[in-house]
Amino acid sequence: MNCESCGKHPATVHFTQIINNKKTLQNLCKACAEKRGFAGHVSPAAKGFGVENLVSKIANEYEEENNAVACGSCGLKYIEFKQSGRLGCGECYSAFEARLDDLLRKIHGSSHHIGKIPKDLEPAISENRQVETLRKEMRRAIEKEDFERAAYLRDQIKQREVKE
Amino acid sequence: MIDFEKLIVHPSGWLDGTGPEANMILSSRLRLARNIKGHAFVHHAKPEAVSETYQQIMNTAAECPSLKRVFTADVGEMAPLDRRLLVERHLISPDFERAQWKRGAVITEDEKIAIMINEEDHLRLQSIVSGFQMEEGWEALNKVDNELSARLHFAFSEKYGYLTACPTNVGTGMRVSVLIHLPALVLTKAIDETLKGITQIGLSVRGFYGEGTEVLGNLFQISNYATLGKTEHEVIETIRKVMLQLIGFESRACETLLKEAKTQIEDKIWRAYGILNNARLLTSNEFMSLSSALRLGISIGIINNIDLKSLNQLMILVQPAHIQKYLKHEMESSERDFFRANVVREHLIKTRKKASPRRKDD
Repeated sequence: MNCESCGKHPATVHFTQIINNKKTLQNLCKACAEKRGFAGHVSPAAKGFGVENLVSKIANEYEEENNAVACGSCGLKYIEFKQSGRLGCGECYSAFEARLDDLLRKIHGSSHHIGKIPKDLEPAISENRQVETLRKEMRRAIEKEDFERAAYLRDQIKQREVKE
Repeated sequence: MIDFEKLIVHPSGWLDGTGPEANMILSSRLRLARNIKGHAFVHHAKPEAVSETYQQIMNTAAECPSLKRVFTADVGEMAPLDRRLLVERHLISPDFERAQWKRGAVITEDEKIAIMINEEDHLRLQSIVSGFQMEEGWEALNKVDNELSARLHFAFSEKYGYLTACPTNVGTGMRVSVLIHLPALVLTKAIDETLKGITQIGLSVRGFYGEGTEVLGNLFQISNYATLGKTEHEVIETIRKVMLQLIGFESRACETLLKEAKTQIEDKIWRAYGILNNARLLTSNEFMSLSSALRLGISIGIINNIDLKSLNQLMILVQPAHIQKYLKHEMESSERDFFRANVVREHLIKTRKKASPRRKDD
C-alpha cells in the first residue's frame, strides 16, 4: 500500500485516531507522517542503522523536488508560493493541485467548491454535480446492501453520462 | 472623477441607521474576490499587464446596468488624503490605499456597491448595507457579479471555484462581515469568552477597519473564514445564526447591567453625553469610546434626542481625513482634536431631535 498523502512512498506508519467516537485510519509514509508530527516509535536498534538519517534525507529531497515545481503558465515556482502565500495565476491551482489540496483542507476544511458557478459554465457543471451526488448515494446504497436502489442509481448515472 | 466635496457632506448610505437590529448591528458587508481568466494575478503581473487589466475592467464596468450612477477613480492619481477618505468610509481597504501599482475604484453614488480594481485580486466587489441585511447585500452583489461575468471571463475551476491570488479566498471568494456593537458584553467582561466561542466555529473577529486593525468603540467585525466547501447561502446562514445568538447574549448582559448597576450605567452614558456636547478637545479614540456609551444610551432609551443615523454619520465625519476635508485644510493631529470637538458639538446641536415627552412613570 502506498502513502495516502503523497501516493509515492510505501505506507509504513498507520495512525488511528478516534474523535467523537469516529475512527479514522491514516496510512502514511515515514516522511508524510513526520510532516504531520506523528513521530512514531522507532526502536533504538533501527536508529543504529541510520534509518532516521536516510528517511530525513529522502524527505528533504522530496521537499526540494516539490519546491522546484513551476506553473507552466506563469512560471511561478512552488517555493515562491510557499514564501509569499500567493499564487501567480489561475493555472497555478492545477499546476500545484496535489500540494494545494492538503493545504486547502487545512484552511477551509474542504478542497471542493460547491458554491456559485459563472452563468456560462453553469449547465455543464451543475450536471456534473448531480452525477456526483448520485454516485455518493449509490455508494451509500451498496454499503446498506440495498442493491435494488444501487442498480437504479447506476442506471441513472449511466443515462446522464450518455447524454454528455 | 469623485466629487469629494459632495461625498463629504453626503452621509454613507450604509450608516443611515436603518434595517433590522440597527441599534446593535451597524452594517452588513459582503465582498467577492474575482480574477480575469488568462491574466496573471496582480502581484505577479508586469506593470503593463496590470494597466491593461485596469482598463479592461473600467470599460466593462461602464457597460453594466447596475453601475450607471457611479464615481470612478484612478486611485494612484488621487491625493493621499482623498484615498484616506475612502478608507474611512470603508469603500477601499488600507492595503489598496498603500499599493503602488495601477488601480482603480468604481463606487455607486449611494456607496452601497464599491469595486476595487487590482487589489490583491483583479476585482474585489463589495456591497455594504445598513443594519442586519446580509441577504439584501448578497442580492445586490450577486447582480453586479453576474453583469460583470457576462462580459468578462472570470478565472474559475469546477473543483476549486473562483480562483484567487491567496488560497484563503478561493471557492466562493466571498467574505461576509457584520459590524456589531457589544458594549454590555465588554462591560461585564464576558466578551473574551464569547469571541473565543465564535472563533472556534470558524468565524473570525476583527477591528473596525478590518484585518489587523484594533477594536474601537466596542465595535467588532465578525466574518467567515472558510470560502471553500460551503455555498454562499450556507455561509450567510451560519453568520446569521451566530449574530442572532450574539444579539441575545448582548441583550442579556445589558439586562444584567441595568438590574445590578443601573446608576453606574446611566452615569457612564450621561457623562459621555456631557463630554461630547461640551469638550473642546477630542482625540479620535476618545470619541469612539464615548460614542459607544452614547450608542448604548440610545439603544436602551436613556438618550432620546439623538438618533442612530446622526451618531453613525458623526462617527465617519470625525475621522482624520474627513475632518481635514470638511474644514478644507490639512492639519496636525493636535489641531484636529480641537476641530473634532467643534464638529461633534455642532453636529449634535444641528441634528438634535425634540426629546419625546417622558412618561410619568419614568
